[in-house]
Amino acid sequence: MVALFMLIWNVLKRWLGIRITVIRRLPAAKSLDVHLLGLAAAVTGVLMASAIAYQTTLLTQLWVTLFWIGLILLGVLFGSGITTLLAVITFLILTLAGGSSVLFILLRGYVLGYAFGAVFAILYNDLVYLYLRIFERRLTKIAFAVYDDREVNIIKSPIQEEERALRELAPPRAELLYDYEIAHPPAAPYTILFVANPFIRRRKAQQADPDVFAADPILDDRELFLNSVNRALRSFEDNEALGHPEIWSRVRVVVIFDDSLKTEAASDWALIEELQIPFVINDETIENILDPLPQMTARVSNLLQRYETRRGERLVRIEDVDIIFGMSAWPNYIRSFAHFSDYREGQGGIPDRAGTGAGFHFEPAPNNGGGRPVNANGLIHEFRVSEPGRVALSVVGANQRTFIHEFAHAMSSMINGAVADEYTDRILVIQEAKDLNTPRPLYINQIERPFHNSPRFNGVPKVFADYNGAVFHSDLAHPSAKEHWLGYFPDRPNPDVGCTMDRYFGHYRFDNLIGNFMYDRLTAKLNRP
Amino acid sequence: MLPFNPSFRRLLNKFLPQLRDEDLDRHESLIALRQQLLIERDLSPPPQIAGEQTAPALRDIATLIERATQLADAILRPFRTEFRLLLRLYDHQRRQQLFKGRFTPFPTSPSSFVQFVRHVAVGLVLEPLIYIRIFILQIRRALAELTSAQGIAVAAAAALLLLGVITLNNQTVGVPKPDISATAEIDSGRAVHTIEIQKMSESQFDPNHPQPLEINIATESVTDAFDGTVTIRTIAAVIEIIAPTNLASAPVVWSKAGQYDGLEYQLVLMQENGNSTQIVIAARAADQVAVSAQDSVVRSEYHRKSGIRKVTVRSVYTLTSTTAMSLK
Repeated sequence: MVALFMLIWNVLKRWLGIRITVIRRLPAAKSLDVHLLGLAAAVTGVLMASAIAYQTTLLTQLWVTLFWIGLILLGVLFGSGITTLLAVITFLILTLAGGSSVLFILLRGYVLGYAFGAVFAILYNDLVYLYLRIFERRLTKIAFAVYDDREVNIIKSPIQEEERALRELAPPRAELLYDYEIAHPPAAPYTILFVANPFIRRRKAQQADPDVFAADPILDDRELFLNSVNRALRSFEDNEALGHPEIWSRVRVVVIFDDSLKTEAASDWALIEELQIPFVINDETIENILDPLPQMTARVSNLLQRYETRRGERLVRIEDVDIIFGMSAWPNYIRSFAHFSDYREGQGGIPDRAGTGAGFHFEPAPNNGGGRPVNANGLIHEFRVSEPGRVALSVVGANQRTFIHEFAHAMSSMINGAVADEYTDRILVIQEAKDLNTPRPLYINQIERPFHNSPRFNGVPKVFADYNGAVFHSDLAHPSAKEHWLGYFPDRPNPDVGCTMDRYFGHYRFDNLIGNFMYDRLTAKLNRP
Repeated sequence: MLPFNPSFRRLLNKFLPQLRDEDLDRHESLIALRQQLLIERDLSPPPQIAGEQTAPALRDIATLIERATQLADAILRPFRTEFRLLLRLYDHQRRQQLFKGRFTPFPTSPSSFVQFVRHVAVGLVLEPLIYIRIFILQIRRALAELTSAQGIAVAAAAALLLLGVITLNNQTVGVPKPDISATAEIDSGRAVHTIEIQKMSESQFDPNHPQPLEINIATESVTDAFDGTVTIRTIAAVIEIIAPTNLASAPVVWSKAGQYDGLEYQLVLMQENGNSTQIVIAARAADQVAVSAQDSVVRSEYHRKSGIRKVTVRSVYTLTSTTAMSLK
C-alpha cells in the first residue's frame, strides 16, 4: 500500500534527518473512485448472492424481491453511510440470528462486494501511482519545497536564491514545475502570502460579549495546508491574467505554518473570525462565512518579525506583501471572503503613504441612462498598498475557482478600482431612490443604471467604459442578470464562458475589462522600485 | 465571495427539493450584496450631487444590510434544521475528499493521519445520523402534506416493506459450514440423499446442562424430485440417538450403519411419500449415549412451474449424556 509506505516514510524521515518536504504534481492519469467502485461491486455482490445461490427463495417471494431492489437503490443513493449501516446490521444479524437468514445473505453479499470493489480500486490506484513515479518521472513535476523546521518559507520567487529549500534539493531542471529564468527579476516581486490560521474568533451573540477563540484545525494538519497552497497555485497559474508566464514568473509566494502558536495566547494570533453579523434577527441568520480579522496584517507582520528574531534572517517584510491568504479548516464555515487592498475596517479606503504608482484612465460610458456618475479621477495602480488585500479562505469549501476569485477581489483596490461580484445587485434591497445614495467604491466591473418607478426602461448601454484608451463593451446577455437589475457588466471574451466573478456557469474567465485591469495593475507592481 | 459550492448546491437540491434554484440564487445574491455593503459602510459619504436629495447615507446603508439579512434569512428559515445538517454533512464529505489524494484514499503523513482517524470516527456516527435525521424531517414534512389516499398508499408501502424484512429474516437457507467431517448417501429408491455430517467442537457441549442440538437437513438442489437425484446437505453433529420411539412404527425405507470417530451410527430413512420426507439420524455410541428425539418438523414445497421440489427437515434432539464429550 503506497499510502502506508508514504506514512511510514514521513515518520522515518525526521529520524533520518531529511528536513525538506516536496510537493509534486503528477500527470493526469485515470484513477478509480474507491467508493464508487465499492458501490458498483456491492450491487453486483447482492445480485450474485441472490441469483446464484438463492434464486428460488427470492423469485418466489414478492416481499423478498421488493426488499432486494430497495436495498440496491438505498445503497446507491446513500453511499458509504448506508454501507456502514448495512455492515452493522449484517454483524447484528450474524450475532443474533445465527447468520442463516436470507437477509443476512443479501447483506453479506453487499458488504463483501463493497469491500472487494474498494480494495480493488485502491490496489489499481497504487499501481498507477507507482507506474507514474517509476516509469514516467519526466512527467512528474515538483511544485515547491519547504523546510520542515522553518515556519516561513518562500516557495516560489523570481529571485531564485529565495527558493532555498528547492535550491538545496537541487533537482534536475526538467523536474521543476516552474522552470523560469528571469534575467532581471523585479526588486520587490509581487508577493502572495499564505498563512495557516492558528485561532479563530467565534461569533458573538451580542456585540458586548467577550471574545471567544478556538484553535483552528488546520494547524494540526500541515499536509492539508501545503496541499491547499498547491491547489491555490494551480488555480493561479491556470488563470489567463495572473497565470500569464510573464506575470506568473515574477510572482513570489510565501507560506507561513507555525504550529508553535498553538500554545500562545489566541487573542494575540487569531487571523480569522466567524462573520460577526451586527444585524442578526433573533439570532436566526444561518452563517457559514469566514471573515479576515482587522488585525490580520499586523499579526502576520508580527509572525514575520518573530521568525526574523528566531532564525536571524529576514525573508520578507510585511511592506512587500500584496495579498494575504489566511487558510482555515474551521468546521462548517465553508465560504470564503476577501477584503480589497487599501481597505481598513472602520476607516474605509486608505491611500498608500507614498502615493506613487502608474496612473490609468477609466471613464464609464457617459450614456448610462442618467445613473450615478462614477468618480474616476486621479486613479493609479499604486506600487504598494496601505493594507494588503486579505482573504479568509476555507480550505474545506474552496474549489479550484475560489482561489482566483478571491484573489481578484483582494488584489483590487478600495480606492483605485475594486472588482465586484457579478451575481448580485443592489435592487434586491432598494425600495426607493434615496436608498441608492449610499457610498460605494469605484467598481471596475459594475455600473448602475438609475432606479426608476416608471414604465420607462433604460437598456444597457453598448459601451461599458473607456479604459486606458481602449473601449470595452457591455455584456448585453449577462447570465446572472434578472429583469429588474440596475447594474450591468463588461462583456466576456466568449459568450459561452462565464465570468470568474459571476455565478457558476461551467468554464470561467475574467471579463475583458477585468483581465486588462489586473494585467496593468500587476505590471505596475512588478515595476515598483 | 463565491456562491455556494456547486457540490453543496447539489446536496441541497437532492435533500431539499422544496428549495428551488431561484430561491438559492436569490439567497446567494443577497448574501453577496450584504457582504459588499458591510465593506461599503466604512466609506465616507459620497460627495453630494446637484439635485440629489441629502440623505443620511451611512444610516441608510445599515438599513440595507439589515434588509438583505432579513430577506436572505427568510428564504432558508423554513429549512433551518435541514440546512444546518446538510452543511455538516457537506463539511464532512469535503474533508473526506481533501484527505484523499488522486491516487490514495488514505492520508500519508502523521498529522493528517490523526485528523483522518478522528474524522472517520466522527463520520461513522455522524453521517448515518444526519441521513436519518434529514429523512425523518423530510418524512414529517411530506406526511403533513399528504392526502388521505396518499397516506393509505404510504402506509401500505411501509407495511409491505416491513413484511419483506420480516420474511427475509425468518427465511433460513442451508449454509454449508466448512467443517464437514463425513458424508453419507441415502438411496430411497426414488432419490439419493447426501447427508454431510459435521464435526462439533468440544466446547459446544456442556455435559452438566443438557442442551438442544439442532439438525438441519435441507434439500439443496433437486433436478427431479420424483425421478432424479435428490441431494440433502445437513449441518449436524454426529449425534448419538437411540431409535426414536415415536417414529418406531413408521416404515423404514432405508437404513445404513457406519462408524465415525469411535461412534457407531445408523442413518435411517423412516418414511417417504409424495409430499414429505422424514429422516432420522440414529447413532449408537459404544458407551450407550442416550439422546431422545423431541421434535421433528418436515416441510415440503413443490414448485409446479420449475418442477423443483424442496424438502426441509428440522429435528431437535436433546443431549443427555456426558459422554458426548468424546465428540471432537
